[in-house]
Amino acid sequence: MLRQALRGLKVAVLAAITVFSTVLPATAATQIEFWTLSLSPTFDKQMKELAADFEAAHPGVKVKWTDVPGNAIQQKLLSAIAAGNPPDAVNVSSDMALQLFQQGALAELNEFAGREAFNAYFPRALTTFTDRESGVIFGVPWYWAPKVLAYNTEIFKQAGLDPNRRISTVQEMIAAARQIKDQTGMYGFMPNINNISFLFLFQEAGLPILNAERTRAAFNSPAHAALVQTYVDLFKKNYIPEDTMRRGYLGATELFSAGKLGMLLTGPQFLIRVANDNRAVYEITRATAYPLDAGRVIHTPLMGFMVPANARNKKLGVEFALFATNGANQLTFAKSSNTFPSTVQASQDPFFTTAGPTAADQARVADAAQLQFAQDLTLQVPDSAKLFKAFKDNMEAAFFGSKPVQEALNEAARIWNASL
Amino acid sequence: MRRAAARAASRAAAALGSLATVAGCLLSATAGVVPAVAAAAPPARLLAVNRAFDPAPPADQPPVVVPVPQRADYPSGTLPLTGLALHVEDDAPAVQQAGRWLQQAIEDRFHDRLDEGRQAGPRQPGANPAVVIGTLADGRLASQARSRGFLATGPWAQPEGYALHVGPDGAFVVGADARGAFYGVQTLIQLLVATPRGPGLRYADIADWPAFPVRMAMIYLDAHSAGINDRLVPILAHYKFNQVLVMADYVRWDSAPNIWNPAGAAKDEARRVAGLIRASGMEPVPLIELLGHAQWLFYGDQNLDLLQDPESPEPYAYDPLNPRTYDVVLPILDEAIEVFRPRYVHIGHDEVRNVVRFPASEAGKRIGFNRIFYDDVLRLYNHLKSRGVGTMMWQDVAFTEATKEIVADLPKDILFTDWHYSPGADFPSVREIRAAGFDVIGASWYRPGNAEEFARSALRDGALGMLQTRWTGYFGNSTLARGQAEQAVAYVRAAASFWRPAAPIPDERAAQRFADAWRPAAWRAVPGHLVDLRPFATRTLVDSDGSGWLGKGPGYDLAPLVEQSREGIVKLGPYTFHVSAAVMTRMNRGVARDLPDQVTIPLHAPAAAVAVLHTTGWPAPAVGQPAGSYTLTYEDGTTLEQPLEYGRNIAAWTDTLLTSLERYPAWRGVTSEGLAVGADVLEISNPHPEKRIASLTVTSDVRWTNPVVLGLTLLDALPPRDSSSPEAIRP
Repeated sequence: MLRQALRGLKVAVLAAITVFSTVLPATAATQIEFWTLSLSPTFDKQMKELAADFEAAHPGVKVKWTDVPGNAIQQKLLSAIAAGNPPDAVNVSSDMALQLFQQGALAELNEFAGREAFNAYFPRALTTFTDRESGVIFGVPWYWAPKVLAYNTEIFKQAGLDPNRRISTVQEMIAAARQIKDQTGMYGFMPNINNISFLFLFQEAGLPILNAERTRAAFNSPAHAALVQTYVDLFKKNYIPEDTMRRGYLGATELFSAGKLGMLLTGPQFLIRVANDNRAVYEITRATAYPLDAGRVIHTPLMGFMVPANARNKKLGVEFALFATNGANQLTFAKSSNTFPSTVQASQDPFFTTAGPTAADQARVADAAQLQFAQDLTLQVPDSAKLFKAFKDNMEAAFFGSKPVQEALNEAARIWNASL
Repeated sequence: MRRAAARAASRAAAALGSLATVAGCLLSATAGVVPAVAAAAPPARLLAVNRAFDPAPPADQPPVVVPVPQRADYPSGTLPLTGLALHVEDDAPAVQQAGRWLQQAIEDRFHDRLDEGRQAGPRQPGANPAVVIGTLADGRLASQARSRGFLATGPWAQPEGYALHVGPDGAFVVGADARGAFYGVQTLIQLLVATPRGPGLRYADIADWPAFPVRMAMIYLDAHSAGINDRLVPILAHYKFNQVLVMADYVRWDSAPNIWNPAGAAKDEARRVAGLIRASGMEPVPLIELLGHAQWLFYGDQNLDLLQDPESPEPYAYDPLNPRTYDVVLPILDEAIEVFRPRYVHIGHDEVRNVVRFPASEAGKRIGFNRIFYDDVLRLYNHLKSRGVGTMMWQDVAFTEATKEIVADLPKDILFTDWHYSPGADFPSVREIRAAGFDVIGASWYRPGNAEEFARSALRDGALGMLQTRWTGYFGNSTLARGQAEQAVAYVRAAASFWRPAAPIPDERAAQRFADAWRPAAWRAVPGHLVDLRPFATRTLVDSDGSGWLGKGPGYDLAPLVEQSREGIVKLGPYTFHVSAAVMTRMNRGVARDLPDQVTIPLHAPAAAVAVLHTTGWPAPAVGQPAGSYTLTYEDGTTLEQPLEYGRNIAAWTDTLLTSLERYPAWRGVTSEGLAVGADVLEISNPHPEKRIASLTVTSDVRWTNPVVLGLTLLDALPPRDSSSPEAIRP
């Protein structure tokens, strides 16, 4: 919905890019601005240090940092671009980066830096921000973290589940969720099924999204429909909370923090929020690896830094993006945020494999082992905003009983086929 | 859907308003050179027609009344308006208003009025027939209704119901109450017809009543909203909404001058809009967003001591544990009550924890969110109750799994608005809220199927009514007309379903109805010429073998448009076109890669306006991106350019939701594969009708998308719209 709702917003982006696009040399008075996504106030110290370090390495350059809440970033960024006053570097998610790139709103980073500047990143991470047709790099990877399965050990016990027995398959996870609801009346999980999550669940299950030629949607096969139907049935039988489709991970984290949800499927960084909201629940929480499905891949949303095409200091913006995401800075940030770096060397730091007593420690160690399966599965398709919305709308229609699953998938496929 | 996202879109669209205006400059005459092709090529074949533009609904088809009445019969025949008198037999303001609206509708369409008076007694043989409007309280009218089979014990004789009859002997509208009479007249207006013998009213016998007692629509109120609201409110009333939720965050309240936003509405404007709503037969309900979504409370970095999370960069929620919070908030509620005189105030309370830490303070954490939330609601409720006003609030925080236990103790006369913005056959939350002892109103948004299906399930589950929300238009209300018009169209769809959930109307009908109401035209046909595009075509409309249209084969083409035409001629809305082939231009994608950047269609004809039936091969990545242009080249060598802006005046054949009222939603169809498709009309007024037009050149922007012309019609005169008068926008 977010993208759809913001259509009106994108009105003047292109015109503004044309009018305001300039590259200014750094001067004594040069100030650059970078934006981050939902990091304040928790990571104020780290971001201020990052800015200071960049200033120290670039005499004469002042760095201004602005943090923008997740639900406001698209609006504020597009408004700033349209007004010709965007930040010089901005932290956005992969799907938003793709849409901005397709709108022509992002700078081509390889115009400002040689190929070697990008060698430090995991190739599969850099691919997320590389246009598959032209090879243009429109962003650099920053932090990510494969989701983990955190669980409330007390609720497990109440449901007759052994908190020491690892859940190793998706089917076991679903069975545990049912058992929790049946035995305790509390919900077992709030699975990641909102928005376009099924595009990721399909890939995690080894099911294709497109045909081999990428000319038709392939997500409306009986196998795809059966996977969706599994969750629709759980939803209709009240094994999944009603607001799951609306609230996603926010609702899940709140409910888990309230001690009323058996399992939380989320990035380990959100366990910090659980600890902050309800220490008692955090202390009876354990974390384990998210179960791998047939696709042997885990969708891992990747954050990145982009440079708007009409940024005033594009060259410095690119330098900052590379600086913020270099191995050393990524390692520092990952340690404080319970996430992982997207650079190869930093990821090998012993910190990530050193066990500790807390749920966050357990999550980190579990994730380190899963990192090999991590990939941001956001699909590069033309008209991505339209196609993703069509997919999301149809999944919601299926969950709320507006149409059968197969019909919903067929409807989405038709819209995709017209664009592919 | 996240309401926060929708709000964000609204704010951002507002921020872009000025740029959009610049980009939207329409025609600017510039000297130019006649393209060689236009001078050399033979002119297109032009087919003269008498009704190139004709806004009157077809007289030979049954009427389409929106909302669809509960019971209606349309015998064949028309009651001529000539000689017809109007008798308004009740002094109630709503009934008097109904009479005025009927007269205005007749004047708008036919430039005529009915003779007015009161019915002196039983109609005498040979006397001119009349339209009689009144209520069941009038014994003579009740008897008249009974004589036509409308018994006062029938289901129509409930609040807001009405009986309507039009026949050779005249017409009457009998409301079960004054509002019923008003709604009956709104139906009567939709029975107006232009026949070859003159204007009239279609014969009808209708017994009608609403399914829900509450049918609410949401609007915005700010310093710039008068132009939109003055147009919109009568349209809402015409489609039988009876309450209006007024987003009133930024009203410049006397008690809080420190947070006055220059773009906020003056208090007098708020009072005026409340009056407008009442004068249109509806009740205003102010929405003051409290607890969360409370940025307005901190405008200009004011009241920062009240922030829930002072460390967050986003001033989003207040701290109920700070006693000064209520020193600020409660006087504002008092002012809202004084201005709107409402039965309810909507206090928001949605998405409270979506943006900032809540509770953020250690004291708050000790108390816990649920308790803080509960106490805040109760504080506001008690204050409103002490003023004799009810409390309305969103359900999404109160009824989450984590918090719902606490709402059990809230006063049961709180009215919850339960928002779900997806289509869905069943929304159990309505039952859950009712089971907890509260009344509930379902709240829908713009997606086709949302209001329709929610209304059905809400009625089944005992909801009190429905609310059609809108999340666009703050501080730049033009987005409702340009950029997110689908939210305007949704009002009409929702109105139909809120009145009679069992009879929803398709989105395309709602789109045409709203577009017609927004830019009404007198019912006079305009002659013109249809252009045969075949000599200039670059693609076929039908793709039977993968070589036509976009090369994707049958099921992904415009065959349904061709099938709708007769020998290539088709009437789409008020416009008639010759539809035979596509003039598609280039873009770097698919089959369009090898097409020409520019195609010139020689015309050598005069025109007061040019109507273009068009689309694009693919969607542009974003609304507002340039799609190309149309250039009119006059025979004297001067030119006129019409820029094409994606979403604003042109859209892809697969983008069927109407996002801008600058294009007319002329045609919607479904391909053999089941793909929803469409095409819109852009009407270009010619500022130099005295000059003959040598040609029209279609130019592609190439980068983002490509214009495709499907039909072209030259109008001999401008469509008879009276856009100069503020009174022009009427149902």
